[in-house]
Amino acid sequence: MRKKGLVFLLILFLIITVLLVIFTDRWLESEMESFGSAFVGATVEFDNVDFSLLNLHLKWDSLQVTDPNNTWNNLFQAGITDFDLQLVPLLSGKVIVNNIMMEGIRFNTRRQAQGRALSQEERAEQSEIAVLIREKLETEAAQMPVFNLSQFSQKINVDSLWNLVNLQTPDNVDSLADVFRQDFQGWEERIESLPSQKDLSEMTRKVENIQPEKINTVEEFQSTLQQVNQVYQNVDSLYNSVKTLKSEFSGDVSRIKQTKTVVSDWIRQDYQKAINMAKIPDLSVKNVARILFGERIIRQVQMVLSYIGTARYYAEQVKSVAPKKENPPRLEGQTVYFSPREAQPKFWIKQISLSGQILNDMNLSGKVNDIVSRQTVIGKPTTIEIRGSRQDQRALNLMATLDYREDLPHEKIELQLQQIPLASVKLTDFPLLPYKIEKGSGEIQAELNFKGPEFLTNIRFDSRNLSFDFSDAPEKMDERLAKLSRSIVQSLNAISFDATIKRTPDVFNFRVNSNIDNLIADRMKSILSDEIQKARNQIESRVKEEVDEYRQKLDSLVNNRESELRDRIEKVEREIEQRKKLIADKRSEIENRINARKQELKKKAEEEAKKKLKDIF
Amino acid sequence: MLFIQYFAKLIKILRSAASPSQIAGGFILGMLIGLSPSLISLTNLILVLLLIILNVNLATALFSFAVFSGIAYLIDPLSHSLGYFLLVGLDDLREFWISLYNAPLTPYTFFNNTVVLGSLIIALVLLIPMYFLVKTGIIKYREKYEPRVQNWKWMKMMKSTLIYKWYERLKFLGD
Repeated sequence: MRKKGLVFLLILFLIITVLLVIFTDRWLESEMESFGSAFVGATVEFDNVDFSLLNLHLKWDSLQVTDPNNTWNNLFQAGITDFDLQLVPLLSGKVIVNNIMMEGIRFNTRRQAQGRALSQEERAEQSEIAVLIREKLETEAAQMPVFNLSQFSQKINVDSLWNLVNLQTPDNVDSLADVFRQDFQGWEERIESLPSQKDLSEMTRKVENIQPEKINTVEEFQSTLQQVNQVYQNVDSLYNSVKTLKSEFSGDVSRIKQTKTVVSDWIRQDYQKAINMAKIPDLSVKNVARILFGERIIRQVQMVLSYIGTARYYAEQVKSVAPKKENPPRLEGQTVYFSPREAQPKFWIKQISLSGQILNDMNLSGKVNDIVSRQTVIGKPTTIEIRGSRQDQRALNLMATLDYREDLPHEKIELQLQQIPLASVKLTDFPLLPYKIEKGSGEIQAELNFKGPEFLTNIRFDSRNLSFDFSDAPEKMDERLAKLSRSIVQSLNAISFDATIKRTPDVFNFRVNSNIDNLIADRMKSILSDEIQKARNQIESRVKEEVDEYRQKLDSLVNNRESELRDRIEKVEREIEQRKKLIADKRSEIENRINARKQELKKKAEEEAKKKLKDIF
Repeated sequence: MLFIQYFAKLIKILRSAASPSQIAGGFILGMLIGLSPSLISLTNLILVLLLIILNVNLATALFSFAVFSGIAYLIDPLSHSLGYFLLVGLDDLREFWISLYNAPLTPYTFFNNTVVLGSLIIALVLLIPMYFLVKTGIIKYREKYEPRVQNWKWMKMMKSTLIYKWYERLKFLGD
């Protein structure tokens, strides 16, 4: 034991105490701001944090939480807040707070200095499933239809567009004509292989030269008839071949004519391509609804989801009995949480009492109960209940339950806002609704339900008695669009929309319906449809004009070649038929001659027999 | 430059009037603090108090703290794996950790951090062997090697450096 050491220790203790008194508040403020910013995703500022080691009392004068989506605004700010920490649990590293009084809460306030939105890497860790859902929503937002104002403001110039259109049909028709030519060439070669008139004459010459009257003997008759039958069979077989060829030709021509119908499809494709190049707008109701409110809804749900993701992450961390081994940076290690004994968790704020103002002097009060490191220890979920009301029926109700007691985390958030004043509010970034609302009120009902990997969100908004401030009109808007915009806005005195986002393991669905979908689509169509129709007709006739020549050439090729080849086949067919008939006639003649000769011989034999009989008697 | 600093410090310690036990005691306390990844913890506070109260050599403690801080960085993956194994992998120890986790003050040792626990266990395993190793080493050095080392040419050169002279002036701090 060294005396010097004890003295040094005493001095060191005094120095540390002084340093703690001087620097604890700043250190604590910095730590709280750092944790809060990582949780919210944007700058969180505490002012004048004061921690008393003797009383274990913590106090700050104000708290500002920056809106990550608009860093010049606060999500909310709060005034003086103070609370006591319990000493005995603190010795076991447990932070237990009975009640925090948070006063002077105000929402959506303007910041004096711009806050900062944190990048995804700087933010607090989030549960894997929340990150997955957030990414899915991000994809959904990226696929949101884009409303291109310029496509409405520019007149469609078909002449200039036409230079850019590269029609495919002419080339395709040329290629098809080549294929047809080759097909017909094949047929021509087959027809040429048929016997010519000369061949047929040669084939039948012997038969034609037979003179039945000059045949006398039975043997001669038999030989001649056999010869004629042989030639007849040959010609008949040839005739059948030509018939088959003719039938096959007819079949092939039908196929060629059927193939030719593809030209109509090519023309349709060329027409559609030209229409696409002209960027003729598609004014479907579905697109208008998503353009109007889609992205804004998705951003809000994403924001809620990021908070839920962080809450779930910490809940999963402390709930895990055997956490997975991580790869932390060197010398940082991985903290393993164990279940607390007794009735007290590691961290527990039993209640935060809130009071403040919202929406132009509406008094607000509420409670956040049981922010706790492990809900299973106290057997209760974290609940948030905020209410506000005014005599003119303006009201706000926010109820939220974050339940991590079961295996599947479950969060439910319900928000109701009634009679919200909408003056100076711009409802959408839709370019044709650029005006702020001058007068009117609205209601919002939202229910967000997350259970494990699934979630269902319903948001309904209704507004009434709306009038718009036209002095807020953008200067550079095209005159025609300005007219369209005013026409839309003048007929709007109520806006409502109904959005649903649903996610199950198999399905992701995002739907938005609004009463102004049809209105906007109809107005746009009524003003733009004449021009659109005219442009469509012009393009159609240009395409037709350009392509018709090729189509006619193709038709003519098919028809001419068909007719030419069919004539040739039929000519050969007729020729063979004639020869066949001639041979048949000759055969009949020989047969008749044989019969006559038979009769003649029979008669002669009878006469000779009679004569011999007469001589005998 | 850093090497010269450490070497000068080492020679200074070896030649000091402190007993081998004091030097070995300072060495192992410095090692315990150096291997711990977090300076601000209840364990380190106790170790620093011991360092100040016990009659051990402070210069040796500082030297070993510097050396083992570097070693702690190098063996971090081993410490992390060992800590994870002890905290998560061994079910038999679970109740013990839960008791510690809920006991007063022990949470402030941050024992439930894998690297803190892993490096503490490594330090505790090395504690006794290292104490006797250092102590024996000092005795042997003083008996056999010190006169020879003092006659090394580069040792004489080093003694003439400014840094060594500064150590000479401030040597009372190490006693």
